[in-house]
Amino acid sequence: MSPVYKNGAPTTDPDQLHDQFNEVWGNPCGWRALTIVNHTSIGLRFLVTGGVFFLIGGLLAMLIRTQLALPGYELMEPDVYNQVFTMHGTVMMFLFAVPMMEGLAVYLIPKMLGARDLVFPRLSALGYFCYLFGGVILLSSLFLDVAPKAGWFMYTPLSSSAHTPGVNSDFWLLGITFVEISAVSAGVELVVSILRTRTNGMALHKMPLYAWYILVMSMMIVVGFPPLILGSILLELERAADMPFFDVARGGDPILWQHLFWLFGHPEVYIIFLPGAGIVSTLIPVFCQRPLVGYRWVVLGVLTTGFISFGLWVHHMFTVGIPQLAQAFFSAASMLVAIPTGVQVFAWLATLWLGRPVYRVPMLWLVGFLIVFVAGGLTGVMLALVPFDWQVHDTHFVVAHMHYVLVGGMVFPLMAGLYYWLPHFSGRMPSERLGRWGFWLFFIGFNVTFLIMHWTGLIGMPRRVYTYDTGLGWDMPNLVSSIGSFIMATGVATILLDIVLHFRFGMAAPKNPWNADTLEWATSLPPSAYNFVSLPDVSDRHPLWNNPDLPDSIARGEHALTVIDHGRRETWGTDPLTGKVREIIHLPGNSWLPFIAAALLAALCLSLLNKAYVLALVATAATLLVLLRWSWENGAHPAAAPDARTQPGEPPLHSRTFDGPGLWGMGVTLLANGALYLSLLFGWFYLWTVSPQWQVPEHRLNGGLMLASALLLSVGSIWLHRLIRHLRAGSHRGLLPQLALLALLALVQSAMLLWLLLAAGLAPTETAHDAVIFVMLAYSIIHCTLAAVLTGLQAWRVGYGYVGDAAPYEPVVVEQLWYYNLGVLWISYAAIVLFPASWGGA
Amino acid sequence: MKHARTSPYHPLQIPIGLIIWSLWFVVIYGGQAVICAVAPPDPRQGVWNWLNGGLGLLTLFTVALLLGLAHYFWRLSRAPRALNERQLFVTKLAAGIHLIAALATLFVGVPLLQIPPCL
Repeated sequence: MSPVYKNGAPTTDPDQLHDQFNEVWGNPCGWRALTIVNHTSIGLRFLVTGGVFFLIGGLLAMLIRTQLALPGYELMEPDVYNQVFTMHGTVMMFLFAVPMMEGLAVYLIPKMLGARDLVFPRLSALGYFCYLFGGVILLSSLFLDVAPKAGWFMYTPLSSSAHTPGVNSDFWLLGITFVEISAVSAGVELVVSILRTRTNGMALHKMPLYAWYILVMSMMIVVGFPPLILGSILLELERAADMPFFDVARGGDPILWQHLFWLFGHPEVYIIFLPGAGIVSTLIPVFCQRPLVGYRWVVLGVLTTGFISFGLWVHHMFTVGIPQLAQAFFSAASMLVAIPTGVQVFAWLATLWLGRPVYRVPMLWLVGFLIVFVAGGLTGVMLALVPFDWQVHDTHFVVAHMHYVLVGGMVFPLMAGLYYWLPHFSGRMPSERLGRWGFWLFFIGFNVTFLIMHWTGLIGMPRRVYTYDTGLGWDMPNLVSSIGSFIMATGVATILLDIVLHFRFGMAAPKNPWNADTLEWATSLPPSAYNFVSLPDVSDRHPLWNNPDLPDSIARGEHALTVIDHGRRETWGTDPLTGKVREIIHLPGNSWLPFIAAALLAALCLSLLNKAYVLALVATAATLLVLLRWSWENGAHPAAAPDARTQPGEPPLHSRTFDGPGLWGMGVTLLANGALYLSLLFGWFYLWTVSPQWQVPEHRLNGGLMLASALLLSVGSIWLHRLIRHLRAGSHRGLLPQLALLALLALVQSAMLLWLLLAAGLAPTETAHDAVIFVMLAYSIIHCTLAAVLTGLQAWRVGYGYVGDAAPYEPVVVEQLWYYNLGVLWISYAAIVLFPASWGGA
Repeated sequence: MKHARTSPYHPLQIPIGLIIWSLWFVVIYGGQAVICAVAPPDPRQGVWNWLNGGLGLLTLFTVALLLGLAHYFWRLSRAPRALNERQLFVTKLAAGIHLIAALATLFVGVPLLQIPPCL
């Protein structure tokens, strides 16, 4: 059938179009399902895996409540109890809350933005497998009776080898770091996808509110997770290599761990809450059938919450002896964050007030959210007051507050969202009756468990005790809490039953079953792997309310980018501000590489756990090779986009421009990397200033050698900049030899740093001072060597014709790494050579 | 229309106010900690000492800067020439963010008037 043009776009038979698209985008079955990179499949895998981890975490919670139901009851030994409460918190925070929210965003964001996939599909798949393998490794410790047992925030020195000598803490440190690869990679991918792949016309101010929330959440992950990754690396180095970052006797400080942990830990609360609030801001307008009141106010509230949440971390440390003035700063900031959250709550209430809400099951969960979360927020303001915090610190009051905030702010909206988007996942509607039973059992059970727990804490019961004596007034509230938890578990079982049954007995979902306004409901139910056969223009915030026929016209191929005979997976690349199309982003297809890379990383994690360091080196080298192969299959490579032709009137492919998603991906990744480095720098100055027994050894670093290395890197960066300027001007003369020479230069410069490190005579196991310098130099050596390898790879690609004036994009991506390394090396030089010299140390 | 990064209509302007707030927060928290470690003022001076004074001046300067920027963006959003919907969105949001950042700076800075720095 020949295409018929209407509105400038080709149309054809929808079934035929579907078949053509499915040939390019379709998902394989059997073992080859491991190669799938499509965001719909990956998002669903995140959600199902997160659901399983939730059930395991919930089971651990039931064990805790059973243990505490009666005074003097001994279901578990104290050591087992320590493992159980540590793993409950760890599983819920790291394996359930963040991955579930990211998984839902991975599933929804491209559909809401009118795109066919996320920008880095292979990264999505890698993130999922890292999450799965990391989670399995972590949970395996429970079955081996060596699970982490120092609490989910792993305070030193309790978690250090002196007090936890087995591998328990190592499982946490290595397993969680592994899982965090997944969180950060999804964060990077979501930021770039939201900014660069919206459909034509979806300017920033027309973006669905959910995308704003996910944008802020993702940026928070990018900046907020690296401090914990650094902390985990340092603590693991202390445990495995005896580097004393947190050991007071050798110049370290355990409070540094608390700072690094809570620099991550408090934003984490909002990383979990903001996507939940995004669900609320998406659903309330649908069930009220009117736009949300105050779109701009809500965006303002979300951005403000995202920033201010980074200024609260010390409120978790009010009892450790920080000066009162500093406590007052954090106390004020902690109270302040309630205001932008309050702005959002008032926007939701105003929408409910002005609309005609229909109380279907998702709305019940939203009302539950409003009640529970506002209560949790109010106790949060109480805890922001330093004297009150001192009074209830480490009691069950804090446990109750935390569950009101996290379950209220995340689980209730998530359940609303799951019920709302269930027809999307399955094409069927859930049972209204079972859904209501599930909600009420959960809501009642939750409040019975945790409302009473506030009083348990106020009358003095500390958290994390495995049992208690009778006669302290704690018997009855604990029993009530335990009964409540079993009611809540019944609610979870009912919801689970409803979800399972609906796949078999649920009514087929009609098109756009809730009469929603956002584009994810313009796909088929369940959606195809490519989401939309044609990509529509969008001119307002409510495309489906203003054009209810949009799903049909999309399916008929009446919009853009419907040609598929070139075999490429394509979606629009748009301007981040205006949403105007400026290139076509071509995406990689299914691949074994993400699975293999994650499996090798799992091998690395396991070999580190078993202290098999040679094997760890082999796994690292193998991972690097796989990742280099990954980057090889890009741009003009035959497996990517060797043929750059596009349809008349269409923009060029991104790999033929200077501004593709990889450029943005590298930028955002370096932002995360920079957050990690700044945390290390913070650690250096913190220890220098505060550590009670800070020791400065006699020996001095060879500052001249470091200066020479930094100067050489500066020369290389200027050279690369000039080379790329010529490339931008259309000349690629001498590109290959110059890139090869630059790679050589970077290698020499890295070797100088290595020489500096080896010749410095550092004693990193004797003082924290030398240990930090060691890590700082190693950090630069690794990054500069990586820049050498990647630049050499570019030279090689020029030889194959994959990079040149026709495909000039990749050197621009590598250029950012050079600038980053340059900045880091000069800052390190100032910090470890100039600063000590000016302060009278070495 | 594509705006340069320095244009007042570029979306980079939206978070600038809160970035300024973050930098101010880091400086007063970090500055107070470092100075208390290396050169603490005499505790007998109470609240009125050079450290609280310096941090207070910095706070006032930051508040003034943020209020000035809020005013600038608010005036831009009400410019005599017609702005398109996108430019209005950026300027009004930037004005709001700067105002909030100014209020946040003031609120978090108030303890400087009440508490000596190094106790």
